[in-house]
Amino acid sequence: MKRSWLIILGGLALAVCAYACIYFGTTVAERSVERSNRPELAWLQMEFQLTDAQLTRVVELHNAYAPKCDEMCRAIDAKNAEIKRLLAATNVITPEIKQALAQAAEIRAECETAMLDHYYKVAQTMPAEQGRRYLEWVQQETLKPSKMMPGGTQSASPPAMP
Amino acid sequence: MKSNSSSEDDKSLHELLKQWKVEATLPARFQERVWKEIDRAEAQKPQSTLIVVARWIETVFRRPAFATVYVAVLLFVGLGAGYLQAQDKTTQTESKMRALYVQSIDPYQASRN
Repeated sequence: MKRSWLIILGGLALAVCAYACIYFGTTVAERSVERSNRPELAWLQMEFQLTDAQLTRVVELHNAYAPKCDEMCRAIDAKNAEIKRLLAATNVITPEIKQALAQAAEIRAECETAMLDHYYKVAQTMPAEQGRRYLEWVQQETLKPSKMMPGGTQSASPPAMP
Repeated sequence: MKSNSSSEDDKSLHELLKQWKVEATLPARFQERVWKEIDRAEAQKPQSTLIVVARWIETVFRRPAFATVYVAVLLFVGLGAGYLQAQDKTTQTESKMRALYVQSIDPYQASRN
């Protein structure tokens, strides 16, 4: 009787061990990225195979770009709020609405220019092939019309490595 | 006086009983029949489901082939479940990290809290 229960419990224990070994063994990188202080940049390093030196440079570029990005966010939000207010106050296109829409387009152009500048700098930090992959992916994610609304849509995967 | 007489009676009874020798022999296969009778009586007794299941498990796991298959199946299930969960975790983490990165560089997709 004891032997039977030993086999039953031993089999279950073996299954649990096998599960744990496979799960924790194959998700080491992902769990490490999640625990990082800057998980999005840790992911970037993993995805585009950056060395520590390259990652350091990317972090510098990211930190330098962040204030510009925040400023753009504030400008976009302020202009959108103004347009919303103007639209709510009338049912015809007024000169103020036209002006606000033109200014919103200027902000968008300035924003896209700053983004592209950042992307190119980051891509130049990476190995050539990885830089190409990065540019292809990040431009697809941020510069397509469907992405250009506040609150954007779900991100797709970067192109696979050859 | 009475106690002396009773103890003498006990002693003689004891001596008489010692002389009594049993010469009868047990029937053939007596022990086997006794155990069969016990098994039959126990089989007729209503048993709890738990005991029935426990006995079935014991019978089944006595076979080495069954025990081997059982362990192999559980091992396969554990490995398979671990692999599938890991794939799911990897996909979820990648998706989440991609979105986080894009939100950190694109003002139009940055989260507004």
